[in-house]
Order: sequence, then structure tokens, then C-alpha cells
Amino acid sequence: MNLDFTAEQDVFRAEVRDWLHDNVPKEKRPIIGDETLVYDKAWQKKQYDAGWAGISWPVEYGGRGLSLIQQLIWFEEYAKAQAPYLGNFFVALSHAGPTVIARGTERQKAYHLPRILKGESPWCQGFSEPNSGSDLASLSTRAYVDGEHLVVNGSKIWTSFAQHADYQELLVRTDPDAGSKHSGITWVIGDMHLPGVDVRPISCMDGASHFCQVFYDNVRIPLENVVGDLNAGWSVAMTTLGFERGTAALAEQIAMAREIERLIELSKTRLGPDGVRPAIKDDLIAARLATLRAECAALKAMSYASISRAQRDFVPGAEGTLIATYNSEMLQRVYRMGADLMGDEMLDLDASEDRWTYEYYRSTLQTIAGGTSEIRRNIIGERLLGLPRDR
Amino acid sequence: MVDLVATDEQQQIANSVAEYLRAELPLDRLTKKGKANSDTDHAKWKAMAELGWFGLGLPEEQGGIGYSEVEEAFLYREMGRLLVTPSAIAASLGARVAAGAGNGELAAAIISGEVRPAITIATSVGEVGPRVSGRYQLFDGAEADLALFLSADGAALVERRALNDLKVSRSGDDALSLELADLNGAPTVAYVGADAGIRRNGLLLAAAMLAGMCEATRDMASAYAKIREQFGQPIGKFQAVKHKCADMAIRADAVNALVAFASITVRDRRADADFQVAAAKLLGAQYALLNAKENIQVHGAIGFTTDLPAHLFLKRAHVLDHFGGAVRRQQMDLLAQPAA
Repeated sequence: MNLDFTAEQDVFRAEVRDWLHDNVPKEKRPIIGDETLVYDKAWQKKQYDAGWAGISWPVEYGGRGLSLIQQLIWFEEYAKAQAPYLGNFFVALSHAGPTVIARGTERQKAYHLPRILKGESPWCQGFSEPNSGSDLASLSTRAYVDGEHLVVNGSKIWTSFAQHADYQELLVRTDPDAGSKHSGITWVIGDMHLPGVDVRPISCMDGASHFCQVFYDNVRIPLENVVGDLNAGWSVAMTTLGFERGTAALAEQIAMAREIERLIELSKTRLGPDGVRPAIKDDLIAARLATLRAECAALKAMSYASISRAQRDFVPGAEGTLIATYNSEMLQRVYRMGADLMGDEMLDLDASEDRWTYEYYRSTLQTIAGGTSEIRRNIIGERLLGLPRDR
Repeated sequence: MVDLVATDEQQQIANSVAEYLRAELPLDRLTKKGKANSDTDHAKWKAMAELGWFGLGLPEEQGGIGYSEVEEAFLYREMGRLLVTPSAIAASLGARVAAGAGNGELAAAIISGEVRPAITIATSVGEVGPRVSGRYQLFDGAEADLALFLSADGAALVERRALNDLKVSRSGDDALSLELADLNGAPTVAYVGADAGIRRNGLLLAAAMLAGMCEATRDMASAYAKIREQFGQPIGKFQAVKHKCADMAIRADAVNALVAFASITVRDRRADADFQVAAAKLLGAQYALLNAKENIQVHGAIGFTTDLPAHLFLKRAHVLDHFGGAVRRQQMDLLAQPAA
């Protein structure tokens, strides 16, 4: 067991660090609005022009094709350089693109992959529906074949970036009479600009609109946009879960470690609950900060261990779910700490440029999006511990 | 290259330790006779010594086996799973203290099992130097020859017979005897200063045992949840129970990864070793206590009885928590460290 990097990897790290240092946008990423799209496109294009787009994508599809350890280095440096969140390109780069690579036709690959890498086409994910959240496979947005088209009717919801996306990874029910709810689903590339697609942003508790509801009224999508086979969409959707084997999550974790260090600094300047001494002199606050440090160290160790196993081509188990659960709940404790350190001023959203209260509100989504904590605990209990299923 | 997966050799060490312990020191040794005690552990003391366990992490020139803190952490994780007496920690540390103090003969005697140390936990502000003062709890020391003392200033070994007026008390951990010592300048047979890093080694070994206990309680609870039926189904099918088990798995994984990571930082003398070890000790204790409590809960009333060892995991976790400084102390120490 080892924590060292090879000389070659150190050289690579220096190259990454230098490039990021010179190229990470100086201005902060805007939080809401169309400015985010302009910003995200520019940053993605910049990475593409320098050969840093799609770092985990295979080289033959225009990606950088980095090894897992190189990805780890990239994401560590990415976080240290405070490079921006992928935002509007998150779905395209981490899920849609890899799915097209794994299951798409040559034509689909040739058309879409360069547009993603160059920062031209953002994607969104059309999975959840008003009546299908955790029970995704029960989805009922209907599509029937009409000549060379799928005709889609229904609605998707909680769709992040739908207002900016050009394309959507869309799951539709093509065979309602199939034997099980997992069969009869098709994965299709939906063009967000087609007639009959209606995108309505949803107002969220943090004041920024994170997601939308999308309505489909006889939307005609060419059959050639189907990825994988008709009615085989569930397996297509599952193909690339965990595509990056935990390397991308490392960037978030390093960013979180930095937030914790900022909180420790903040606790030295904010007044504590006694109104006299700095917050860090309060025993409970100090205990919480120390525990966050320890938990974040454990999270990093878990990610390193997971990447180490992936390197040896171990088949990924439920360990990604363990890490995701721990990570998301820790993030909530981190931002709650930030809000608490603001004292009474947490009630004033303009009190600090660091927006601790905003981040705290925002963090409540962490244990819902991408799998609720409850579903994740089912997965851990059933797949990792072998407890009996209840569904 | 970065790698947190055990090498084949490390895995073999862990497997052989686990195999030995399952055969020779099964958990039911602590429930069979109606009264938990560590007699069996002491009956096997020489055998464990002959397997090289107490010198595993010491260099060969100090009479050790020549592995590192990384392999030692695997050993102690397995010992933690079976609740092996913490006197083992006293032996691994005692051998280092003796070797560090230039007493190779004593180091060899500890490693070979001839001389047996036990752990102490301070209950007053004392002094650990060339002489030792203060009030201490001595755990599982009835058959010990030496007592090990740790503080921020260093580590020392004192002969049991130099501990005047030992008072027997009732131990919070049924499996370990407890005696109280009040020392006033007791002479040491070996002493090393803080720079020898013995306390850090001790925290790591305790954290490794706690990591093993997190795993053992996770496994015990989920095994029971699969076979115990109520309302016509295994209780593990109920999410209220399943999710408790999942939390135990998360905690076990977190502590294990952190202990492995910390053990590498100690072996490689990395700048963040104190940070990682304090983090491992504090999470290890917190999580082992939580897992132990939830394991009792999943078992229901049977978990509250001495027919099962579930209660012993809770009690042992408290002993190891206080060893080398309890959670609150580790939190202070961790916060005093520079960012890792």
C-alpha cells in the first residue's frame, strides 16, 4: 500500500497545475441565469482547445484518455485551482457522452461527441417523472413508433439545466405491455428544440432555479436517435453509472476539505455564542469542526481506496454508494456549520460574500438528487450486506 | 504509486491472523463461562508472541519482524474483531519503548512473550518521564510484569511490583480486570521522549482495533437481521433495521479506509501523520461506539444479555476511546494540527 506518485506522475501534475493556474477563469461562475451558459461554454471550449476536454473519455472519441491515477491528479489539481463546476456540461460529460460512447451508433458518436467536448451542446437528463422518482423504472412518459419516428407524450421533472440544454438523455416507455417495468423502456436522444417540447423552470428553496419540468406534446423524435435497442433502455441507462470510478467525486471532496479549512478560519474571526470569545473557543463548535476534518480525511481515504480497487479492475460493488451517502450527508453538515458560524447573521443572505446560508439551503438537495439517502441505504443493505429485498 | 489495496503479502498476514484468532480466540470464549475474562488471551500469549505479532512492526535490528505500521494495522484490526486484550497494544508499544531506550534485552523479552506489559489510562494530571507520577487505571494487568504509561511527553515502562498499593476496582469492561495505581515518582525500566512517537503508534493501533470492531459489529448485526424473523419476515427486510445496518457499513468502511491511509502516513513519516492518526482515533472511537450500540439495538433484548458478546464491543470501545486520550481530546489535538 502506498500514497506516493511516480516521477512521471509528478511531471504530469506539474503540467496540469501550470495549465490550470494560467487558464482557470478569474471571475467566479455565475450562480443563475443565462450567464451560466455563456460561462460554461467558454470554459469547456478553453479546455477543449488545450486538449483537456473529456479527460476520462477514450482518445478515439476525442477525449484525453487519462489513466485513473492521472484523472485523480487532474481532479485534485482542478479542485486546488478552484476551477469551476461543470454546470451545464455536467450531464453531457459525465453521463450522456459516456453512454453514447458505450452504446451509441457511429453516426451518433460522430455527431454528438465533438459538440459536447467543444462546449457547443449542453445536455440534460430526462429520467425522473412526477410519479416516478426513486422508483424510476415505473416511468410512464409514453412513446410510440410512427414510421421513422418515436412520438413522445408525457412529462419529465427535476430536470437540471433543461432551460439551456440542446439535447436530453430521455427515457420513455415504448412497450407498456412488456413483462416487467424494467423492460419496455427506450433510451433516446431528445432534441430540446423540437416542436412540442415545453420547458418550465421550477423555483427552488435556495432562490436559484435548479431544475425544470419538461412537457412533451406529440414530440416527434427520429428513430435513429435511439441509443441501444428499442425497449432496451434500462440497460443503456445503467451502462455508465460509475463511469469515472470515483475520480470526479474526488474533486468535490477536495473542495469540501477546503471549505472545512475556511470554516476553521472563519471560526477564529466570528464571535461565538457567548458573544465575547471567537466561535472556535466554544467547545461544541470546536468539536464539530474537528469531526468534520476527520470525516473528510476518511472520505478521501475511501475514494483513494475505491480508485485503487478500480485500477486493479475489480468489479465495482456498492462501495460507490457508500461513498456517495457519506459524502452528501457530510456536505450538509459542512454548510450547516457555516450557517451556524454566521450566528444571528445567518438570517441575512447578504451578510457575507461567502453565502454560507445559501450553500446550506442548497445542500439539502444533496441527499435527494441522484438517489435519495434512503434508496442508497437500501442498496448498501441489499447489495453489500446481503439483506433481503423489500420491493 | 497510489494504492490503498492490500498487497498479496499484507492480505496473507491479515488472513493468517484472522484464521488463527477464529480458531484459538473465538468470541464465544467471552460468553461461555458466564463471566467474560481474558484468561484465554493470556493462555495463548506465548503462542501469539511466537507468531511474531508483538514485534511485527519493529525493524529487525530492534528484534522485530521488520514489517511496518501498515502490516501492524492489519494485525490489530483482526485482533479488534475478536476483542483480543489491549495488553497486545502494550506489548507492541512496550517493545518499542524498550528498544528505543537501548534495552534490547527487554525488547526481546516482550516480543518473545516472556515479559508481559499491560496498558494504563491516566485519571489525573501526572508525569511520564524517567520517573512516573499520577493516578492511573491498569487494565488487564493481573498477570502483567510491566505497566505501560503514555503521555504527550513520552512513554515509559514500570515494573508491576513497583506499583505500590494497587487497588482492585470493578472494570467497566467485564473482560478486563481493573486496578488503580497512585504513583509518586515510580522508577521506570525504560523511558523514551515524545519524539519517539510511541503515543502516535498507540493511537494508530487502538484505531485499528476500533476499525475491526466496527466491522465485527456490522457483520454481527446484519447476520442476525437475516435470520431473526418477526411479522413473518427477516427483520433485515424492514428498512428501519436495514438502514441501521447500512449506516454500520458506512462507518466501518470509513474508519477502515482512514486507518489504512493513516498507517501509510506513519510508515512513510509523512508530515500529515499526526493529523491522520488523530482523525482515525477519533472517528474510530465514535463509530465503534455507535456501531456497538446499534448492534445491541438490532439484536433486541438478547443483545442486552451476557449470552452474546454484543455488550463487550460497547464496553471495549470505551476503553480504547480513553486510551491515549478520548474523542474530545483527539478533537482538540486534531484541530491544533495544520491542514492536511
